[in-house]
Amino acid sequence: MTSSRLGRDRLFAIGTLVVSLLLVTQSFRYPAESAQFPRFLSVLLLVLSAMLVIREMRAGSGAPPPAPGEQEPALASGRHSGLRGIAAGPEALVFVSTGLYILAIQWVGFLAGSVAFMLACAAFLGNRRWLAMAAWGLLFPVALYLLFHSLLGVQLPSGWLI
Amino acid sequence: MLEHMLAGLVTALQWDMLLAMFVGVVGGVVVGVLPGLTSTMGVALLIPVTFGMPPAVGLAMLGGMYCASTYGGSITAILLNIPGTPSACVTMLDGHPMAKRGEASRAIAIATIASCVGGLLSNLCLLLLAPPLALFALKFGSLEYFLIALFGITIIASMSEKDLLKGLMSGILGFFLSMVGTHPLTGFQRFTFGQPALYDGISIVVALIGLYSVPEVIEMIRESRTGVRRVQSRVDRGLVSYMREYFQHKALAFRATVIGVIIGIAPGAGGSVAAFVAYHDAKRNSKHPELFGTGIVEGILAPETANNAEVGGALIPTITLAVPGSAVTAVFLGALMIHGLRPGPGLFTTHASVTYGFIFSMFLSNVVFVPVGLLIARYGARLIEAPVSLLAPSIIALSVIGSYAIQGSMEDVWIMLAMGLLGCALTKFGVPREGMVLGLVLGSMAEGELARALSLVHGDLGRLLLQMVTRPIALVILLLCIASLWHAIKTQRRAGRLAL
Repeated sequence: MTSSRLGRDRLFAIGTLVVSLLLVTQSFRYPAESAQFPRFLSVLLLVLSAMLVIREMRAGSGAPPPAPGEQEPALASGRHSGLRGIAAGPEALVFVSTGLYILAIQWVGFLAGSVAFMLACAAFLGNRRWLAMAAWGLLFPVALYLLFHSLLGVQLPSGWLI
Repeated sequence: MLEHMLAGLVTALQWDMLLAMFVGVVGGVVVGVLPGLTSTMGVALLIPVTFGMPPAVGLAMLGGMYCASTYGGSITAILLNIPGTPSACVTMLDGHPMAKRGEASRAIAIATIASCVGGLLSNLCLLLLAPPLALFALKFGSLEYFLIALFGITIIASMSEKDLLKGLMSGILGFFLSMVGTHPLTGFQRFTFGQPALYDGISIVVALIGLYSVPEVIEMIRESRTGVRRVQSRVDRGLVSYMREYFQHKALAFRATVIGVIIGIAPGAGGSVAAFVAYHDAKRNSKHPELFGTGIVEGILAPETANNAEVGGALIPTITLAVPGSAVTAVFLGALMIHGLRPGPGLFTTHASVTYGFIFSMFLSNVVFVPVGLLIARYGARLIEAPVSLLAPSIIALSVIGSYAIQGSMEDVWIMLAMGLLGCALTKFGVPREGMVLGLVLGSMAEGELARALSLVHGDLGRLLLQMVTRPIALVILLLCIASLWHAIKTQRRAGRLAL
């Protein structure tokens, strides 16, 4: 096991231990008849978190030094890139831009906000085929608008534009 | 009965029935493909359209929507690693890896054929076995439903072969997410932290969109920056070739169909549970379980057969007992009432031509969605070759509007983004998201049914435990739980991964 994966797993173990303690505390504040299941689950989560912490501490104490160029194995349903990958560019880009997009559609309306979002993202991600970008940036939001608003009758957010 | 069936067949072949069914199927595939739109929503939106239609025609359209939307979610799951419907969540595990290898056509074809076969076989059960299977449904009580949920938890364990502890923790976190909101019996608000948006709980669809679409977009951007190219789609081998490949796994297909029908009959579980159970069964009985998750045929065949087989199963208690098995069949029940059809034995006698006409139109729907779905998927497969600079914001826009469309609430969109953050964290720490999805799906069912089961025995836990071994169906499910958990632990120990 590489040192970065070990650090990440320890961080997860400690994090879930903290979360489970918070859940235990919260669930014991609720009346008994509404809290039996959460109490049981929070204690179970606490036990599993503790087991994970112990396992990672044991793994850490016995871990061999990483071999040069050692690759981390792929996991069941996730991809990872070590502790360095946790604070990475793509995550920040997606979350910040999506957050701004959500605020924008409430302010200017779904269609205007979506067009602006699509064009801005495409340009930021390096697309320089301006005609294709403009066409897609306009057509896709319009198609979504027609599908959801006109065909399915969903009232989309409207702002001071459209 | 035979003359009623023949009358129904003749009804189903009328031009207006065929047209309505076709419209329903096309709409259903589109609904299934788009994340955020569910079968329930599709059927509910179509009901007003059917107001002026004869009952048989209206039901044919709704049936087409129901079948096709259940199938359509697999297309997005395979191409984009985003489940279009909750039940397509499992199809992603092998469907997307197969697509990334350049075999998107093969994955979609297998999923399509599987959905068709599962749907046809379950409709056969609906046609021939509805009354006795309905009696079987009546034997399921709160205890049995709780044990089904418990069985789901053991599936989480067996699917978490890389790390059992993380898998179980993911499932428990999913259970906690399902408990956000109002307690099913007492009405007490839990884990809402004073936020009105959380009073109704977290929508499974919103959670799914966030857990999968946001991390997928991030991964897409990262791959494009590191120069990893998305694999081009290879040449299509042809449907007949894929059908031959599907029927090489006849036994698996049959088992998946049985699983889907039985889970469909038991109200509350739904297509996603059927898909998970079928996947788990396929993996457990495979000679190469380690290949599951790498893009193998069995990993697509089993869940897709089961989730469409669940459709026919769910309609059995709905039309015979007026007991809807899921949200979509509850809406269907409403549609039956609107069209003046009262569920029960009368549907098969007084309104026989309508009922059998509807059932035969469901058969046709399961066949018609094959070319419709393949045609939509043929053009959709080109999506994976589109520039990331256009594809990524498109997926985000679709996720945002899909989350919003469920309740018309911007709070759901923010919850989707928060779930996206959670999905990214789970991916980074190597925690399987499927466990959380299953926990979210089963959580409220598990708690609610356990509370009801306990109230029926006046809180006597000993008596409840005794019922688990004295009631035949409960005992069978309990034994399945033990076998599933034992298999998971044995697999982990053998691989030396169960370090406690």
